[in-house]
Amino acid sequence: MFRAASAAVLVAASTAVTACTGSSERSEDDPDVALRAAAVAREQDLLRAYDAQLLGAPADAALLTALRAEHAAHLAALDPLAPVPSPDPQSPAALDRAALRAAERAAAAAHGEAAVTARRSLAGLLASLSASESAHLVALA
Amino acid sequence: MTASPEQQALLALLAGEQAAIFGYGVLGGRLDEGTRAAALLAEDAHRARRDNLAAALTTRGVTPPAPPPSYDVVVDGRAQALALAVRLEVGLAQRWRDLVTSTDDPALRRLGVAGLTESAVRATEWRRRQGSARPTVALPGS
Repeated sequence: MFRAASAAVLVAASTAVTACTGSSERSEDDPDVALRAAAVAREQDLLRAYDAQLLGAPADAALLTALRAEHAAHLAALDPLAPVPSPDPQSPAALDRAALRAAERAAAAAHGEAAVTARRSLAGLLASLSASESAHLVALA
Repeated sequence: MTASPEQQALLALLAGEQAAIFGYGVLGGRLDEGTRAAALLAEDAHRARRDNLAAALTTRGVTPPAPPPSYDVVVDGRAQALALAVRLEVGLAQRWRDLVTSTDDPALRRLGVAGLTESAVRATEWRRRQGSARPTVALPGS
């Protein structure tokens, strides 16, 4: 497990380096780079939040697994090469359901705001992601 | 004058909202009292969005077309009523997303995100009432 966690950190670090050097060169050409990177980070955070919930073996694990899969689909739609976080048993106590709902709500708002300024192709995806996170709140109710 | 992609998206949405208002009026009558209340709320929300869209078209110098006098809709029982409600919201979600990708106007983008979200949320609520174990979709409107 320690080995796996280290590998994940290394992958994340190398991706961050690539993203930094890339954005300094390409930001003029592609203003969506930063918006896309922020959306990727939000989806990775949500995946970690669901993993933390699932570690507690909740009664509605099937629903949570289905919603987690949709976040994995969001991440793949934003960037097929972005690392998918894996469950970390060393993670602190599973965050509570209210915190998960708050994370979905915050991601819905941030995706929706990004959809206002992104170029059209990315804006449509961000709008769908925002709508999806809001629908997740209904499913979690 | 040819309508711009933005105007075409607004016109398609207006037609969709008009159809949804009619559809909810029909399907609401096939639901039990508690569920009918949700359908009435949805119908009201669609009227509000219809008015937003008509105003957006008027601002752009386009006269909002009136809805057709009637639609060919038959709803026989609760299951068909819920299925139609899901179908209306799924169809509208696609058109709201089309609006987002057809405009650079921030106000219309916000309207598009709001409309898409409302339809995705309502589709989820109707699927839950259908008893669906998977009430959500990964990418609403696409």
